[in-house]
Amino acid sequence: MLLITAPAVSLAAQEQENDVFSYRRSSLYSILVSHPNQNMDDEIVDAFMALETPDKYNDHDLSVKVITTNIKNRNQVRSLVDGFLRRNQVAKRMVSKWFSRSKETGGFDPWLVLNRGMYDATAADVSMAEQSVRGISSLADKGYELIDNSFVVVNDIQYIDHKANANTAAGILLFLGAMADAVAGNDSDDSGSFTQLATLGATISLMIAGFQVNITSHLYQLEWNDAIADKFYTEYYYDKPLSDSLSMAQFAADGTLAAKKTAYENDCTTFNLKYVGSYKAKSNKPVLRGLYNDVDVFRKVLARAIDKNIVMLQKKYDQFKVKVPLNSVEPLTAQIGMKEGVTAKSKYEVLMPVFDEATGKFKYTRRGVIAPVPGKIWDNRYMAVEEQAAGSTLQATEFRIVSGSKAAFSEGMLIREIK
Amino acid sequence: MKKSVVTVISLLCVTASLCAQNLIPYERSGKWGYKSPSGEVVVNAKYAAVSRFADGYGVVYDDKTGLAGLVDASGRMVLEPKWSYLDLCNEGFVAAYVCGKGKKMWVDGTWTFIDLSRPDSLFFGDRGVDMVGPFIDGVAWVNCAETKTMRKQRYMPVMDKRGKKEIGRDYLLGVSESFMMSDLWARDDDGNYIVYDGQWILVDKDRNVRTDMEKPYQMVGEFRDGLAWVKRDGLYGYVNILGEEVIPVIYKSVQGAPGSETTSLLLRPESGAVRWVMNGKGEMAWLNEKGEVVIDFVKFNGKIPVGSVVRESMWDY
Repeated sequence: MLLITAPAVSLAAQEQENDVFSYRRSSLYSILVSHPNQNMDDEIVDAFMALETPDKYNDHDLSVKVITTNIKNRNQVRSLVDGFLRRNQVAKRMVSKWFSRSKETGGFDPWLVLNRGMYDATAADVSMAEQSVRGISSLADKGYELIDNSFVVVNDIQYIDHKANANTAAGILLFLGAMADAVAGNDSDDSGSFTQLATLGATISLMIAGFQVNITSHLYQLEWNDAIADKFYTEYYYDKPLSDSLSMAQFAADGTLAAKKTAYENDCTTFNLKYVGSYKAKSNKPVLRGLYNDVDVFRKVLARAIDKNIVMLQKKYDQFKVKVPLNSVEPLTAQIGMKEGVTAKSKYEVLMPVFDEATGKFKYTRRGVIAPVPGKIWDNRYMAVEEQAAGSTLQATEFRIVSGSKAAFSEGMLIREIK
Repeated sequence: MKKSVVTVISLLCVTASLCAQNLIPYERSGKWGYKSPSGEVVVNAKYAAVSRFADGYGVVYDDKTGLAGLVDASGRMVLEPKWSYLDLCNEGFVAAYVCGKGKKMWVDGTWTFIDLSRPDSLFFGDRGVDMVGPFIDGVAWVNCAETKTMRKQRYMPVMDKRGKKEIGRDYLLGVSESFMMSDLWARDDDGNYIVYDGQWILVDKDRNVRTDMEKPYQMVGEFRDGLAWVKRDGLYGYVNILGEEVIPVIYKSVQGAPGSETTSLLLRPESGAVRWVMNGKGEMAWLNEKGEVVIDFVKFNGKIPVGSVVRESMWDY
C-alpha cells in the first residue's frame, strides 16, 4: 500500500501553474432546461450561459448547454431529460471528452486524464511520450476515480412572476429620488437630475425587483467501472495520428483502426449515465446591493440558486461531495466558503489520500474532524465582493479542531463535509 | 546614487499603495465624504452624494450644483465637479457628460472622453458627441450623429458598515466603476431598449479613427475576445480592434446583437468557432475569426427541444 503524503500532493500540484493547491476534482457538465413559453426565459438563458463551472469542479461541459420544453411539471421534465441524455449518447460524449477524441480520425489521447489526475511527472512523461493506451494502463488506477466522478447537473429553471413586489420597489425608488432632489436643492420640475436618475432606477426595478426562479436540479453520474474501462481500452482506444500527411496516410491504410472507430460510433449500450437524485428550491429574493444593472441581477440570482442546489445535492448524495485541500495548518484554513454551503454548524472530516495497490484505487482515511470558526467563514458567493458582504474579503475559511490533533494534519490533506 | 534609487522605489511603493487603496463612503449630517479603511477622514463630508470607490477613483456630487467630479485615493480632486455625469471607462479614461442648465438630461447634452493622465485636455476639444462607449483593448466606439437614444443611468446602493443593510438615502448616483456597452442603453417601462440608429465609428486612444468614416455603423456592440458586432443598412457582421470587417456585414442577425436568438450552444475555442451568424433564410452557422464557416448553415433558431436528436456537427467534444 502506498501512502500519498501531503508533500507529494503539494509537489505534484506545484507543476500546475498558478494552482498550488490543485487536487482531484470531480468533473461537471451543467445543462439548463429553459421554458420559452415563460416570461424572462431569454434573460435566464443569457445569464446561465455566462456562468462558469463552480471552481470546485473541473469543467466538463459539452457544447449543448440549453435544452427547451414548454412542459412545466418537473417529473415530466425529468423523464424528458432522461430521454435526451440517452438519445444523444451524452455519456459516450463525456468519455470522448475525457480522451479528447478526434471526430475525424476517431483517435484518442490521455492528456486530460493525466492532467486532471495530477499523476506524477514520471508516469505522465512516459505516457505522453508513448502516446498510447499503455500510458494510461501504466497508471495503476487507470483514471477510475476521475472518470467515475463525472457528473451531469440538469437545472430546470422556471421564472416566478412577482409583479406586485416589483411595483412596490419601484415606488420606493421614485420616493428616494425626490429626497435626493431636496438635498441637492434642485427645483421640483422635470429637470431635476436626481429625480430623472431615480426614475431610470425605477424602470430597472420594475423588471428586476421581482426576479425569482424555481430551480430543480437533476443529478446524473457517468458509469465507469472495470468492465467498461477494459472494453474501452481494448476495443476502442487508439492514439490520434499526428497531423502530418504521412501519419494520416498510414492511419488511413490501417483497416483495424477504422473498424475500431466505427465500432465505437455504433456502440449505443456500453456508456450510460445513472440518475442519482434531484433537489428543488426557490431562489432567494434579489438583493440589489452592489449591482449596477439588470443583467447582473439575473446572473446573481441564478448563480446563487444553482450553487445552493449543488450544495444540497452534495449533502444528499455522498458521491457528489467535493473534497477540498487544506490550505494551511497554522491557522487551519481551506478555500471553501458560503458558496459551498459552509455555515457555523458545518463539520468536515480531514482525509489522507491513500493509494491501494491491490485495487489500484485511492482510499481516504480520516485523520480528524474540524469545524468553521464563527465569524471567519469566507463569503465567496457570486458577487459577494461587489455587495461588500461580511466575510467577502477573506480568502479562505478558518477552522477549529473538533477531534484529532493538529500534528496529524498537513497542508494538502483533503476535507469533506460530514453530517 | 544607491540611496536615491531606494528612495524612488520607496516612493513608488507608497504611491502604488495609495493608488490601490479604495476609500469608503461615509455620511455626516446628510453630507457625504470618504474615509480610509482604517477610519481616517480623507475627504470631508461635504458632498450631496459620493459613489463607491472603484478602480482607484470615486465620483462626488457637489452639494449646491449637483454636478459630478472625481477624486482619487489620496482625496485629491482629479476632475472638478462641473460635469452632469461621469462614468469611468476602462484603461485610464473617463466618459463625461455635459448638459447645460435648463436642458433636458440625456437628450440635450454631449459626451466626451477625458484622459486621466491629461485631465485638462478634452478628447474632442470643445465639441462633444452623442454617445461614447468604454475603451477596451485601446479602442472605443463613438456615435457622431445626434440621436434620441436614452443613456442608462447607473446607480449604486448604500450599505451599513457590515454591508448588510441598506440605510439612509439608499441610492447614490453615478458609479465609479468601469462600464460596458450594455450599460449605455436604457429601457422603457416595457423593458425594451431605447436605442436609435446612430453613426458609430471606432477610435483609438491617440484619436485615430479606425473604421471607415464614410461608412459608419448604425449600431455596435462591445469587444469580446477581439471582436465586436456591427450593424449597417440593417445587416450585421463583426469587426476586430483594428476596425477590419473580419466577418462581413451581410447577415440578418449575429450573436449578441439586440433581438438575436439566445443560443443553446457554447462552443469551445478548440472548435475554432468564435461567433454564430444567421442568413436571410433563418439558417445559422458558426464561423471562425477569419469569417470562415466551421459549422455549416443549418435551419436552427438557437433552441434545442428536449425531444430532439442534436446534429453531430453541433457537439464539440
